[in-house]
Amino acid sequence: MIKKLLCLCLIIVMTLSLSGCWDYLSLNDIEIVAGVAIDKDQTNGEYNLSFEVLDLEDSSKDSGVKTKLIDSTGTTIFDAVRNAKKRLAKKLYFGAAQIIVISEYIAKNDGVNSVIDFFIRDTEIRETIKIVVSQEKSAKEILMSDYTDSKIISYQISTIIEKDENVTLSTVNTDLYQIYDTLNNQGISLTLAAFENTLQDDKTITESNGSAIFKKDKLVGYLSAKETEYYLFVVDKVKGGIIDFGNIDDDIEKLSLEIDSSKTKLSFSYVDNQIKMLIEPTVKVYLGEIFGETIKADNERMEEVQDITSKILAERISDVIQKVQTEYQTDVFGFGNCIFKSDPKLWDKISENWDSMFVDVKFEVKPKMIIQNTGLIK
Amino acid sequence: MFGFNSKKKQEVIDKKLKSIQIDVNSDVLSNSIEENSETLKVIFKDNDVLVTRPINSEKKGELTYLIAYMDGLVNSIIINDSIIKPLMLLDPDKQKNCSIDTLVNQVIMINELKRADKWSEIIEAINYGDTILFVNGANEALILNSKGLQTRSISEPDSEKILSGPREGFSESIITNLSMVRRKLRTNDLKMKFFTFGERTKTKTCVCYIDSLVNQNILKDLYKRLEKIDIDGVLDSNYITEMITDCRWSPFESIGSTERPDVVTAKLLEGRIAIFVDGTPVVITAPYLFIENFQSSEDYYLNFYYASFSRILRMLSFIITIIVPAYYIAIIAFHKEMLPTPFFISVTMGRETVPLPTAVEAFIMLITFDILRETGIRTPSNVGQALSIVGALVIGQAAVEAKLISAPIIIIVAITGITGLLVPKMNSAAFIFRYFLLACGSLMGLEGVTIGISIILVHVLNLKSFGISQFVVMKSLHFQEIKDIAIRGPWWKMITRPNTISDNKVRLKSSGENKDD
Repeated sequence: MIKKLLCLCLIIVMTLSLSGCWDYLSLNDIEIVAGVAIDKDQTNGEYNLSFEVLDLEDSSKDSGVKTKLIDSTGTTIFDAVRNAKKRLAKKLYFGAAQIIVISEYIAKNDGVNSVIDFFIRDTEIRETIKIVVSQEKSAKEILMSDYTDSKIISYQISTIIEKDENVTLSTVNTDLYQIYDTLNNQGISLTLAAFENTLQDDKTITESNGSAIFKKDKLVGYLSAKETEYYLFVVDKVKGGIIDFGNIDDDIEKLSLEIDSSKTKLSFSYVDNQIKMLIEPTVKVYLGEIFGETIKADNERMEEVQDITSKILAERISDVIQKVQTEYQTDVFGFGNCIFKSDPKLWDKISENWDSMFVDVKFEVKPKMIIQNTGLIK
Repeated sequence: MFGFNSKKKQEVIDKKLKSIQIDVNSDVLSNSIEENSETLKVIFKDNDVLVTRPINSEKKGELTYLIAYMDGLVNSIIINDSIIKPLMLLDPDKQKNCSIDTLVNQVIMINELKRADKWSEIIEAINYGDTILFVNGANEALILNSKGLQTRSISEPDSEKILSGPREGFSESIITNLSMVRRKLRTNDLKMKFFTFGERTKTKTCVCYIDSLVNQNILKDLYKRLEKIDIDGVLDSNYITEMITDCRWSPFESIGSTERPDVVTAKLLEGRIAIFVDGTPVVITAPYLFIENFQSSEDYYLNFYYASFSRILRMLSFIITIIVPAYYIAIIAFHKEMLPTPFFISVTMGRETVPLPTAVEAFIMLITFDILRETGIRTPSNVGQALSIVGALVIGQAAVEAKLISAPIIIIVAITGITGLLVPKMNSAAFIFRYFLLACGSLMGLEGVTIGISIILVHVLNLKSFGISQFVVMKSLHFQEIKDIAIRGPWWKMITRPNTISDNKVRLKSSGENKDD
């Protein structure tokens, strides 16, 4: 009996100490990281990391949570993260980090892969952390900007990106795991959110500024906020927001439509060694704002406006695709991926030359606008 | 101390008895009333509560009758009016050669009397409040019912208060208690069998059941277990509960207890057995299903939607009260990623500059709460106000403001404490498993909590009450099987009794004219 009990005790003690979850980490011993900015010294190739850390000791309930920046350098990113401990009593905790800002230099020359590797392998970091390309000289400047509504700049940026596809349609929302996914997928290229600082009165404020376009994992250029909107229509990531049409004919000086929902169907045809993409967005909208003639619900002009706006939308989408084809030659729309998914045999044949083929891909945009109501009672 | 004294006293009495060669267990009365009087004095030596009242004959002055009773246990009006008065008014001629039969049939005006010729019977009767009448020349005595114990009046039990429904509660007198149940069950099917427990206390105990509903095997099993009990005193039904229970080491109850006659009646109607113990208002019932922990008598008196909702709340509270502290520690210390970021930040802000580790903090606060709760029960009610001020202000507010403990742990302890009070029948299980899970959570995080919960579940599923699994495994999801588990089905749907307890299953033969269900 005693033998059995001893065995049982031994087993319990062993399971306690050998189970891999012995990481009781008191909340008092951690420094919560909200976001990381990654720069690279162009002369000696060392990484300069800036951590936006929550300054809880200096925060009170009334003023809210303040933050502070902590810098560190290292030959690799992991090395730099470790070196930060030299300056800190507490351990850096990445579980609540929501943003990684990388400098334009790193994105252009080193590529995203070199940066995200550490963050993907580390257990503490959430897979939903977002990566942002800084359009300023360094990534740190984005985190140094003044706050508008949230004192934690990283969380502010993260929320701006998250809400974008519902409201503003000016940038792209890409999580860490999606980046890894895209980089390892076929026939699709990466896009990331781009941020820049602007001046408002005396304050430096950071705001989203379109999206960064990548070839493989290297930055090749940017789409402006307006262009990003139409890019989002192609990749079917529009959930809300408005489309501004400007002056469409003699009666209507300005027109804004509020998007209720949007669904884009992407298909292709392969005739005579020529790929032709067919992009069919179905956009349900409300009439948001109109200058000039007032359109009522029973107005016959409704259908006419639908036709005109569909044509304008088709033109604008085509312009963006053409720009990417001619200027950047990278398949950010996932045309190749569409072929790969629906006709893998064909993809096997053409995948090797896809980069050169993409430039010459013919496409047709057939949007369907449905104005659901005018926002006015009869 | 008490037990020791009584033992000593008994020894003394035994010695005295030996000296005049009387064995209380077997000896019989003698013919001579003087001899009997002497013997009585020896038996009740140093027992000044015993009152003896001799009645001498008018002519010769010799002792004719002797009345003996225990002061305080009897109703003296009965003794005066129904025993002494008729004896004194008896015609002297008749008195002379009055046989015991004449006394029984024509003189004594007592509803319940018994003839006895053994000392053991007489001693027991005196101790129970009966009056003994010794008659000259007879080797028998009369045991006359004159019990007049002071008892508490019937009132609502404090421990089981309800809003609507019968409000009466049991008192300390077993006869009153039995009458309260008998008043609700007017059938000859209701059986009440008396037992006596306690070598010294001779506590009357009654096993009560409805013959046509009870499971005979369980009844036999119960008798077998009761027979084995040999104890010197029984003061409360819990003495018996703990001796006849199935899982003796389990913190969960496997025998029910209540102070309400309506609850006992309802349980008897479901085929259960009730055990009444004299001297306590708590009646125990068996067998006991796990779900009875969460049932309240009020469930059956209120609308079934509301009753079901409150029952689900009670179950939820029990789960919350045992796992919330453990989950809090596990998440804060091991799995911070699980918390949404704003919540995480505010918890971390609360923990800032708090010197103790979270786990220690939780243990201290939970024990503090338990101390406060226990103090609340034990203190006289006029000190209660001071207690609540100390509890709420000093421990709650001041400690947080002084940053000795963090605010979130106060919230956790408050939730744990309040939900713990909702299921009073599970108190012992709740506190044991709360600390057990807390230890698991502090050592191994959520994995630990999961292991702990598994251990508890294995234990609960193995609980038995008189051979019946307390956790009834459902054969199907048919409404009759689940009607009274998590929800309380409407009365017109309560067609069968709980199927593991009684063999006589149907309780509702017609529910009226509603056919639309």
